[in-house]
Amino acid sequence: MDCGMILQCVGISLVGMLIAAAASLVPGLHIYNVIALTMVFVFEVKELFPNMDMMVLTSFMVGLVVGFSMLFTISSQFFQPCDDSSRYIMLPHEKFLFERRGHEAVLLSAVGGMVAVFFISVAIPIFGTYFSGLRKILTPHLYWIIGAVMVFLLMTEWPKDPGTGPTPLKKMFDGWGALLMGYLCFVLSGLLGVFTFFRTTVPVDSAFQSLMPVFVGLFAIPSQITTILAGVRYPPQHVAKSAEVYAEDVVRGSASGLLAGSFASMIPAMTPGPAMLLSGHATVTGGDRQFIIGGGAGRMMYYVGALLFFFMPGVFLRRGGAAINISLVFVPETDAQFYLVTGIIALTGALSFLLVFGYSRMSIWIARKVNYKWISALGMAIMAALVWHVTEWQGLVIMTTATFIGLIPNYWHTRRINLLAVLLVPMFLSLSGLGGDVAQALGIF
Amino acid sequence: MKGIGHFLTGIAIASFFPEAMRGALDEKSLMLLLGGAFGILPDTLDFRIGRYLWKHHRIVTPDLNNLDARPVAAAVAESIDEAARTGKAVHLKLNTLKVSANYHRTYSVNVDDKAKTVTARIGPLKTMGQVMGGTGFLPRSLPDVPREQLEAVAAFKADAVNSYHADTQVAIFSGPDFAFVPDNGKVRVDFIPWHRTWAHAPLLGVFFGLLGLLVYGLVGMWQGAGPEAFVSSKALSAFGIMTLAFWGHTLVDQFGVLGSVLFWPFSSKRSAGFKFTHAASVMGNITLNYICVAIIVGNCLAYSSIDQIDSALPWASWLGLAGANGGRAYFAVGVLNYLLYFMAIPLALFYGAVKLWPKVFPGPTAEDTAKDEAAEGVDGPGELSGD
Repeated sequence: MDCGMILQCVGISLVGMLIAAAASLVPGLHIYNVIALTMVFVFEVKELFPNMDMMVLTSFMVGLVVGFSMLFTISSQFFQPCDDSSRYIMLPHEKFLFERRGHEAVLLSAVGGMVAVFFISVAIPIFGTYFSGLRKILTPHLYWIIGAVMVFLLMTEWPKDPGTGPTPLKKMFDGWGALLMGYLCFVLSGLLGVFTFFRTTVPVDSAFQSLMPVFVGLFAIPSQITTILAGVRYPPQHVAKSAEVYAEDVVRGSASGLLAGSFASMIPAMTPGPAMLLSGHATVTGGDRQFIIGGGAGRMMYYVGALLFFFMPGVFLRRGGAAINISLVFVPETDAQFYLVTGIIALTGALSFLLVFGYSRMSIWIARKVNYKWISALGMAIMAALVWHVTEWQGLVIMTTATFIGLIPNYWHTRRINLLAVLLVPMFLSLSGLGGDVAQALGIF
Repeated sequence: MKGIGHFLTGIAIASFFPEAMRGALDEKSLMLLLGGAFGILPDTLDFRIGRYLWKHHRIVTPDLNNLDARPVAAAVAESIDEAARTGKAVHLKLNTLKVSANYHRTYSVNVDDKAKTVTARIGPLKTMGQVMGGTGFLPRSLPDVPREQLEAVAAFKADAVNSYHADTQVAIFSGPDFAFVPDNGKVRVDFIPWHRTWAHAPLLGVFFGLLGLLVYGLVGMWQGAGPEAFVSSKALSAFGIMTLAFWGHTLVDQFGVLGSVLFWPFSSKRSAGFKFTHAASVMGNITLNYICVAIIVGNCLAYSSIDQIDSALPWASWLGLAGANGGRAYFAVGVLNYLLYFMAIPLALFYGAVKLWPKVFPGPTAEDTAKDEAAEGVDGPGELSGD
């Protein structure tokens, strides 16, 4: 690979990172939504410049993913404050916002992200083959591992309501209300997932983006609606010159996040949410700082680490939306490509980490000038437009259906993780060979 | 131990059953999941059902608008004396005080069995993220009530034995339950008495195992294999997995402070734990989880191709042993190889790192914490007892 090509790839990856920075201002917008839109652009470019080396466009996508993974939660931090009335538990980063420490939460998350970038750039090239060997051993077992995650999620949500009713039955009813709504959420999301996996409802040209309206509906739009309906004000934020964090917090938080990210990278249908839940329990993560650092590390490891495995010679693991989309236009072949992508990840990761400081300040400034409800309304409009553009009216119908399901956890105080049944259930059925039978029994095909 | 430890213990136990492993590879069987499900089941039964069936004789809910520790201390002391006087157990529940979605008002209770006193204290606010007022960045946030309402002491007359935590905090989610049980002329203080009772009893594990045997046996018969298929290896494996996974939970719990009711329904007395670790111990949980994952992966490896086994465990091929898992020597060397490479060495490295850690990265001293708190304008911990 010549120097000119390397410089082109590095340059375009920085452009990707900057575009990710701009897109990250829309709270709730997911990296895969941006990639979906980018793919439309990539196909156009490919048609216009048939001789163009696809490594260049691939580098652009890598920069986009790295930048997004580091920055995309910052807008949610400041533009989506948690309203007490719609939540049973306030997560640590949400709590930090009300304690004037939103900027500190952003920095802690970025520290986790940077540790993950370091790990990905150094450890995967050295130890990646062991990871690949482990995956080969576990491949025939993936179906029951996904099944085990589902069983664990369903059996370990404890009733949050202490149950103060006069009779045991009434107490149990108090406690089980949220649990049953969680089960309803799981079942509805699972059915939606089976429907989406086994039947193409969006236009055939956009079939590779059939999950986009589902995810926007289940996660992004409900968050926006909840924010628009929220009636909270949060105090002016303190931009700290340093973040109080001990080495133990960084090590334990990052270890938990890296474990979660690695698990999610290896197991189909797994995302950082349930993986973080499992790894947090397994490593007994303690305290708010470790939770936030772990989140940053886990997201980076999942989105970027999994992507690097796609380029790794002898592994070529196609896990996650980024790798799947890139594989539509690019087939990795050489060691040079792998090391170039590794370098791009290290560079864009470090630069986006530096970007975090200013980006967080800018978000605080925007939140001071513009009511967060308007930002969420704009975000919701952008996402609906995106869904319509990529998947047409059929996508909008699916998105609306998913939105109703996605609102359940907010208003019945149950786990949002249940919504991930949309991936877990169809993937489990598919890998265990039951997918066709179940889809047929449900009249899907 | 944390729930995931029990869950992994159950799957690790199931992975020793050849029927479950072969079934996973050949028939996409779900037998391994039985291990996980029955490994976690005792806690699921306790926290989703058992706690609601528990009958409370006294329920204490302090008034959020007029916080007062005196009725709390009095209720606990009276319950102890009532148990001694009547010779019957008294069940007491202390309800939590939810202020908002993120904040709970805390209070604590201390039963001093030597001094025969109960001390109740109204405490600071606590967040759902477990941040207590007076630490970190959260102000101490004590309520503005007369001093005698903040801390109160009530005396009891009976002889009592309190072997669990000296200080019980009532903070978030559900509040603690106590049972004051007359035992050998004294009153024993049991903490969360509905936990680790019938739902952790080994006999219940046998019952579930038999249920598994019945279901798998009937399915085998229904699939046309005839009556002899009732006691098939699959049905026996289901019995073994369900029973042992359930027992695994009880056994793992036994290593902590609190034991289980081991002989239910013949006795309702909860045994004491071995006290090797405790439920929230970082080292204990990580060690258990790592060992379980290593066992599961090791058993998956045992059913992999020879190439995969040889590349992960090279000792057997170095010694020129052949026959894969069919050969006993090959298998034994492989197991030793696995134990050293993937269990002993990683755990030794982990324990070594934990041991060295405080020397390399000393944590915050009490002086640092005091400085931080002073800088943040947080009241010191001595506020309540100071003049």
